[in-house]
Amino acid sequence: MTVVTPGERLGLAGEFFASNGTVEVGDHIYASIVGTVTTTKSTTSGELDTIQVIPTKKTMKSSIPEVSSIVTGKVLRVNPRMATLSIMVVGDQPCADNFQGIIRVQDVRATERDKIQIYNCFRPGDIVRAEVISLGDSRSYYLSTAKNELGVILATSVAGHTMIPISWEEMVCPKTKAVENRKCAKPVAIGESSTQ
Amino acid sequence: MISVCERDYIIGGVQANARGDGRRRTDARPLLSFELGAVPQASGSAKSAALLVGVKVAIAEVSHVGAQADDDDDVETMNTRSKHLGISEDSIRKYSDFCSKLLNSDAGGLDLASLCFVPNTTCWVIHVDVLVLAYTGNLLDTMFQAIRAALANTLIPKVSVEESGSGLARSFEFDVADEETEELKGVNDIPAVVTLYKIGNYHVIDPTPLEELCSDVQLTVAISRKGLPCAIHKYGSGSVDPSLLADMIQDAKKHGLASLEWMDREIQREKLRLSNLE
Amino acid sequence: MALDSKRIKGPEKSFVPLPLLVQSTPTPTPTSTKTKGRIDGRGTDEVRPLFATTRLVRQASGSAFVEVGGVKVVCAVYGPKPVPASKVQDHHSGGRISCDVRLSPFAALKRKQFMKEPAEHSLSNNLHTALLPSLLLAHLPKSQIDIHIQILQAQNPTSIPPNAFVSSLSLLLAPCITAASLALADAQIEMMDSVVGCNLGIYRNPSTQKLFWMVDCTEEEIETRSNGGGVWVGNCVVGVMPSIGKVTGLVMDGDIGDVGFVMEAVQVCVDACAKIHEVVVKKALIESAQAKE
Repeated sequence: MTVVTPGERLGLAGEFFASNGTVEVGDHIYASIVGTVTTTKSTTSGELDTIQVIPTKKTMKSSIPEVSSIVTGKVLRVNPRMATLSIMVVGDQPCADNFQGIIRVQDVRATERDKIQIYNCFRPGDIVRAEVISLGDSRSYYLSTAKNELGVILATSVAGHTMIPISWEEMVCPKTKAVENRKCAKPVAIGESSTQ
Repeated sequence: MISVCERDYIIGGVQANARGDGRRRTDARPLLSFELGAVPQASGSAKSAALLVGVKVAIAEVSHVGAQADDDDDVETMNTRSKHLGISEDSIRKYSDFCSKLLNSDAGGLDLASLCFVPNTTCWVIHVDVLVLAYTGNLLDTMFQAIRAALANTLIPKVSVEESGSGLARSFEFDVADEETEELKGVNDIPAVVTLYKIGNYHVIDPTPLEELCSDVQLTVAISRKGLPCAIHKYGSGSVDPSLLADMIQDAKKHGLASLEWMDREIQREKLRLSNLE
Repeated sequence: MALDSKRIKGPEKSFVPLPLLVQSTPTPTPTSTKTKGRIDGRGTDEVRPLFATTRLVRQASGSAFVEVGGVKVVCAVYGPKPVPASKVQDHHSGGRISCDVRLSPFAALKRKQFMKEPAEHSLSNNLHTALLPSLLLAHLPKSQIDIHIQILQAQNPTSIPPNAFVSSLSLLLAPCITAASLALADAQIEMMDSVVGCNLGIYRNPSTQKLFWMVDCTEEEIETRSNGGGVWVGNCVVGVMPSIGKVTGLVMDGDIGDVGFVMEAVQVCVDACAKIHEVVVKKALIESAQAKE
């Protein structure tokens, strides 16, 4: 496989659909990272073939949350208006540094938004799957859990045991049988989440 | 911050060679006139509607072994309203960096060697401080003009040096005169500074603050009295085609010479006014 | 145009075979017609041998080491990471980079104080300007890339006080640009092209008063202030994106002649950068990419 370096001309802009690792400058497509060139034939006729550069570096490139990407994070603190998360995973790629995100009270679930109490949805320490809805303010990304498959995916009870979801809004501790309120995520089979 | 449509409007205007205030791309605004000697306690000063420059001279030891002279310019822009004025901390540092570098270089015009009165040990250090009163864009060019005027107004005390002994025992004694002063040598040869702002595919001179926000490349050119460029620095986040550079430098030349000529007249007029006062 | 993976694609432009190999043979090239030879026997448009490698700092996202003459530069790139809240101004316009160039206290003959000097600030600023156009920062909203450069050896930039500042910039900026861009490519940061830096000394012939240039001046050539029968009058450092042929950084100081001469000097630097890119930078990146597999 030939390795290309940034700035190497790959073809004309009209020839390919420039995908990851490439950049269009004027009429040409150039490589924008070090890697190997891959072209994918388009499945539908009339569309351009896709050209992309696959990075050679095996070490995971630290990823950046974008609007509509699914992120996984840990709840740092809650207050009546929002829950603050530390985003640790974007899609299925871990971040090098943790980004901060917030779930505002109106973004917790899709229905009965006026009745939401943050404390009955998230507690500090919970692991939450959420969607990025906006790049937010200077500090935080804005996140939302207003979908079935989004919400708390892992939580520990007051007694310190991992709880099991029993409804959309409740989780139970397997040892003490105490029921705590959470905005539970619909359990998703491993591998399925990354395709969303 | 500038909105996208405002930016498009300005870029389109520059392309059509018509700017917001009716100027064309290579037209400058009328230059501001200076008042020299506005700050009595400074060694030299210049004041315009937008800027106040004070020059102070001090005696210092030469730090570098073998140095001929040491001229240190601290350009400090103090503006409490910098956020509203749209000047960032970074660009202020950049500007003072450029000014002190230019004035300290061979091309800077000033006769630095004459500032060193005890060879290799003691010299005059010139401190220049700039206060920005109003920001109307194109700060570096106007700032350098003001510095140039202030240096023309600067008087340094005469120093008499007495040499005694010879060889290793050679020592110097110097005495700074109270009354007698002399002008800086080489002030007339200080170049003019012209910054060209690339907006879209064209370049303009003397932009307004809004136009500055649309520019991705700034090329600062110092033009000597002979009409030759003597320093060229590129700033900004964009890149530039070498072919465009030639055009830009050519325009800088034209404008730089005009600015030098105007400065000469202005300084002449002010000096006359000051001598009439006495 | 189909991409044939079995064929090694040739470069789009062709050049004189390895300018670096010519160096090893002591015969001076006859192309240097403009002047009598240089101190080290190079032609006026010949660059010095340059060594570049990546992956020196393991913990960093990407790193590079560049050595040219006596100048040794290490660059480490960290990120992308979240922008510190205090620095956020306009995050919707994409990411930002921060450049920090440091001279080691032992880099020159005279020990440098640990405190940051104006020369270092100036190097950082110029590096920032030269790198910014090449990076596709719009793809990295709300993030920052930190570029740290440590100059291990600086060839004694403090030994010529009258122009110490000019010389340190002209000697050190070019390798810093090259190293930083290599490290950014190694960190898989998306960029239009890697930026290569090159310096050029401007000399005046004392008898004819004519200006002429010499590419990639050494410290000796600047410090002795004469070379190839000329007196040093100015210098020029250019950062170039070689594939696109655009100038990203430009610093010229001193007696640099008229527009025609300036343009000639810039063009010579652009050509020299294209050579360095083809022969050294690209190879270093490909080598490191293949070493991983």
